[in-house]
Parts: sequence; C-alpha cells; structure tokens
Amino acid sequence: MKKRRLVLFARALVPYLPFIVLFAAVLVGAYHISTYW
Amino acid sequence: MSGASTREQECPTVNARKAVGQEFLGQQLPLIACAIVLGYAAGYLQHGFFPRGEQAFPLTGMHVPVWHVIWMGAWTGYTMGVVGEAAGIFALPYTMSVLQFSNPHVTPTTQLLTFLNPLGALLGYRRSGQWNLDLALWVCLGGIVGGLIGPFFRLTVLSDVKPFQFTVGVVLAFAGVHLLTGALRGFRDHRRRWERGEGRWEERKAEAGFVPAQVEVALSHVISTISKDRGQVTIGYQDRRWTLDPKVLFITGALVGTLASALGVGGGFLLVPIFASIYRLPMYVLVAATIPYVIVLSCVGLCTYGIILPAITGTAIHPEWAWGLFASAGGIFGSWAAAKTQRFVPEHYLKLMLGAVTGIAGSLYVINMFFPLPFRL
Repeated sequence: MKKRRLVLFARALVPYLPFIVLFAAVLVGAYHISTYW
Repeated sequence: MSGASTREQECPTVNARKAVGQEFLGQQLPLIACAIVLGYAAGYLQHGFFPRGEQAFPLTGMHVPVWHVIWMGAWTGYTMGVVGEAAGIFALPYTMSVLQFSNPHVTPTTQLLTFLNPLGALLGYRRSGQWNLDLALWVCLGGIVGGLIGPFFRLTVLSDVKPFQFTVGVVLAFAGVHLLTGALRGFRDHRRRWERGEGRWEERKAEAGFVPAQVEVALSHVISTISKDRGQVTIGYQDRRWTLDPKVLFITGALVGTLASALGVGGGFLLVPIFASIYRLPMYVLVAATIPYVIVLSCVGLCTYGIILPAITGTAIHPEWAWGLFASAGGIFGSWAAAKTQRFVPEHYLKLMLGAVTGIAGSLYVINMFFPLPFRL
C-alpha cells in the first residue's frame, strides 16, 4: 500500500519535474556562485 | 477473482515500467558509465591526474567539482530535451556565467558536448524511420564547410570575452524569442481545441498515457525520397510532400555552421526554426536532417580546433576533454528522461519559462557589451 502511494505520488510529480529540476539548478548555481562571489 | 482481474489490468502498466527500467539499465546506463570512465581517463591522459576535488579541470582556470559538470549536463539535457531544443545553447551560458569557464577552451569543450549528446538520439530516430540521407546530405555538407570556417572566427574576431559574449547574447535572445513564440502558439492552439470541445479529450488521452496529437509518432512510416531531378529533392512523409533545393540547403548549413562552430554549439537552435518556418517541415521530419547535421558539424568543428587551426595558425584551442565527457554523461541521462516524460509535461508553460530565462540572459549579455553591468557575467 505504501509502495503504491509512493508510485502514485511520483507519477503525480512527473508534469512538474522540469520546473523542479530548474529550481534545483538555480539553487545549485546560486550555491556555486556564492563560493567565488 | 477480483485480485486476478486487477493483476491483469495492471499488467500493461507493470510491463511498461519494466520496459523503461530495462531500457535504462540495458542501454542508457552503460553509455553513461562509459562516458564517466572515459572522462576520468581523458583527464589523466590530458593533464596527468584523475579529475578530483579542487584540481578537476585545469584548462577552465576555475574550481568546479565533477558532480556539478555531470549535473549541468543532466539538467540542461532534460529541460531543453522536453521542449525539443538542444542542450548546448543552454549549457554554454551556464558554463560561462555560473561556472565561470569563459576562456576560448569553452568553445571546443561545449562542441564536444553537442557531438556526443545526439548520438543516442540518432540511433533511436533511425530505428523509428526518421532517417533520410537525401534530406540530410546537402545541409551536412554545408555544415562541414561551416565547421571548417567558424573556428577561425573564434580565434580572431571572437577571441576576446566581450565580443564572444555579445554574439552568444544575440543567439540566446533569438532562441528565447523562438521558445516564447512557440509557447504562445501552443497556448493559442490549446485554447482553440478547448473551444472546439477537444481539450478534455486530449487531456484524458494524455493522462491515460496516449501520445498527444501534437507529438507525431509514426512507427510504421518512413521519410522517403520521392524524386531527385532538375536540381531539386522531393521528400515525402505519409501524404505530405516537400521540395527542397540542395543549393539552398548547402548555403543554409554553411552559414549556420559557421556561427555555431564559432560559438561551440550544435546549430539546431537556428536550423530547426528555419526548417519549420520556411520549409514547413514538421518536427518528426526535420530531425532527420538536424540531428545528423549537429553531429557532423560538431565533429568537424572539433577537428578544426584541434588539428587544422594549429596547422595553419600555430594556435590550438583544445577542449577540456574530461569536462565534455562528464557533461555528456549527464546529457545522455537528461535527454533520455526528457524523451520518457515529455508527453506528460505542460510544454507551453515550460517553453514560456525557458524562453523568458534565455531571453533575459541573452539581453544581459548584449547590454553588457555597451553598458558594463554592476555584476559579473
């Protein structure tokens, strides 16, 4: 049951995946910039 | 009984998940692992040590960890793959402005990325019938010429950071406008479908995992050459025909290739809009020309930077091989993930966001040429 809920949650996330990835890229990029700014 | 029928109903979904998993483990993972291993080997052969920690990429002049390069390849390959654009045009400004790799070596390094990334797609398109040598031949020949000329521009006219950034900015602004117009067209078409009452049906089909109408997948159809006479090539797909002039294809390939190889990108960002708007080729057909073109152009560009340029001018601009291979490893995964999830993603919203980001980045590069900005680009 728990596994099925996780699968359903993952499938619900798929349409938002590019936006999540972009947000993560911004965070990682900002962190990297902070190391030399 | 109900348990058995539930299992039978779930079988197609379970089988689909297994197929995706097997495809990743059997095809993609070996390629990714190979690229990473080659990256470490290239680092050792080029610099005498394995890339690690603070000394990963000497040619960049910056401290960038290996995982960040792989991550860059993955997210640029994924986001741009979802909207049908190549990763190079996004990876280049990120590499220059965030990772601060902006010396001339960045150009052949990103060219290495644009050479390796589409190889997997080429095989996939060949398998699905999206392959036509007559369509690809003349534009690829033009790309060879462009790949021979462009690096000389990089060495001379675009050798300084500011003119190079300015040119990248103009190209980014163009790519941003292309993405934004694509997004607006998508919103308009979606609204029209809703008004005709087709919207809900398309969305239900998408939820059920059917391919949306705007994504043309025709596993049983090929792109065929109808005729080659009087200096014209006519190709056909299903019941549609297009007549193309090889001379125009050659010149287009050469001009696009000159600019793309001077910057270190694949050229798809220009070639796709040209084919789509002037020749009205659908995406399913034009990839038969653009994917081979990007590979050919990138290969010739790399050879020019590494062999021809030093032979003629005495100056070589070598790629940071390890960087390119690590980024390609991420790009292989990213573009594969994009192919698997693209049909579930609201493409127009993503195009709108990426178009805005690309356009703003391009505008900043252009402005910085004339009015120095208060922050480093």
